[in-house]
Amino acid sequence: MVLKKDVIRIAQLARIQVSNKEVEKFVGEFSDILTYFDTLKKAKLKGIQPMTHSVTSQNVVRKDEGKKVSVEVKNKLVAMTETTKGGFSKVKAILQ
Amino acid sequence: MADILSYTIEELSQKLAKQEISSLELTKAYLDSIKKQDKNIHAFLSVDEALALADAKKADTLLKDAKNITKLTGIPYGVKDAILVEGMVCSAGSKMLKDYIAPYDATVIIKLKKAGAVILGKTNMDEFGMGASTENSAFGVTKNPHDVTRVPGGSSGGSSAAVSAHESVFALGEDTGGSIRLPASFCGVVGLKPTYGAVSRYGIIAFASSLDQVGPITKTVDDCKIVFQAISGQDPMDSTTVELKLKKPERKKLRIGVPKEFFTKGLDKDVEKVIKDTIGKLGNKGAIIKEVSLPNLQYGLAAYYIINMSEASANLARYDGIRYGHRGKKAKNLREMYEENRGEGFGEEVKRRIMLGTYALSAGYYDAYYLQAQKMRTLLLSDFEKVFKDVDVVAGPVSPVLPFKIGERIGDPMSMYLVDAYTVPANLTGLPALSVPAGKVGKLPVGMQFISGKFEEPTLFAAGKMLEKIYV
Repeated sequence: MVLKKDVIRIAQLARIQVSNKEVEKFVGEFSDILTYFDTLKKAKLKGIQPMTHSVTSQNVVRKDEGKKVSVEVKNKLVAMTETTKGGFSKVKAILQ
Repeated sequence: MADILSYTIEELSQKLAKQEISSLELTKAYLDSIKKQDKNIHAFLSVDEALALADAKKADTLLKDAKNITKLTGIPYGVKDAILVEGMVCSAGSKMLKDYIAPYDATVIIKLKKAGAVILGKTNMDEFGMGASTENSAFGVTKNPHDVTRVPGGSSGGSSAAVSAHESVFALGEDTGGSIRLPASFCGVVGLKPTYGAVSRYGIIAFASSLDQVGPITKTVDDCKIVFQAISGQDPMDSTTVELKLKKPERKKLRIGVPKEFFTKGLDKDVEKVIKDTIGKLGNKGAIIKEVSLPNLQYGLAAYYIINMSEASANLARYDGIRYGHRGKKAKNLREMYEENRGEGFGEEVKRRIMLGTYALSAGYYDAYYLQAQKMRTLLLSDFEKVFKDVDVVAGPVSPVLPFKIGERIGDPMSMYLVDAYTVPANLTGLPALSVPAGKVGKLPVGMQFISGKFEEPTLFAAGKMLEKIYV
């Protein structure tokens, strides 16, 4: 059973603003979906190893080396942000 | 000459090589087809005509000089909007990324550019791949070309509708839980979800990383094979890709396993009839048909949605509106800014999944949800491995239902999720799966799904070709 306060708490954890209307809607929907997830409780999973990778389990590494990126690419990436200052992305103050 | 739009890649590549037609002529024909039809279908989110024509001219030069030609040189195609093409907007169907211009090419795009294929534009999809109908796109629904009052399936609905409506020769899709196979089935075209690790995910907008695979949507099985060969292979930019060693079919007679669990309640009677009839016909053509059992299939969907939402909540944490993405105007501090950007930028289904994923991964719930779901993946794979001791492929429906009406399921998320019941096992286990048209109910297409052991795509193609021959 999911309550209104649960939905609000999850929204805060996920950093998503939700309207009252959305909260009302999600209460019922989340309850339905989580009840469906509980079908897994009927499965015999004792002693089964969890799958961490479906196809290979080999660790892959590549050389730890810096790659030079052209100014052009840098500018393209910075252009994606809405507020910039001196070639950096500007955000609200982190420390109040 | 038959209609230029009806030719397959195989046929076109011969005509292009012999210069019976030019890529420019072909590309123009497809651009015209988009102009004529896409007002009604809405398969494309963007079309770059100038770029397509320039690429076609380049391809024609290669074809003229007969230099570095592949079967895809000069062939126009569509790209699901979750795949980065340098210089083009890549929105993933989301308001969050509506102005995001891809700064580089995905590996699959680099490969297709090298092969000389011509990009027409980006195709519509459910926001971030979350949906089975394209109704979750922030930019409007795509219509099923077979009946425009119905959905094309999703999430790669734009790519499938484009191929089905002859608006592109082939298209790239991405499949996390059926997003290539379901729309391929609904639109009456061929779609492949390759073995996990066969195709690079570099430059793909990540949804659920342990499930996602890029794959082709095509008119025929042969075309599917051509595109798969062009886009697959190990990539140093994606450590989950592997050196591709495909296994060829060993036996003369194809052994098809039909899981009895596929034919239970929830399966539409008309779909069941088409699938059973077609399996019977495959038997008449010489395939050996065996009933098999996948006892844990009933738990697949719950396990899938737990993993899907959990991984999505982690992957989509990056959309905070700071480096890129939607930025709101009202927030007073950093926390409010995150919440506003994400609250305004994401659609309802994306919010639902991020929030449920956040819940499933939160302290105290990880063991109850994510860990159990990962255990279920192991069980499901062992079910399939047991079955593959006796048969070469598993066959069954792609979807339990026919293409449904626009608006029919969108109000009830659980009923939308149930559409994925037959497609998610291949993603959970990493196994490859192919959707091939198997007949119709009225004017609505029904797709047959073949699933094989890992890296046995050639066996899937053999099974798909056998099915195609029934209807030729």
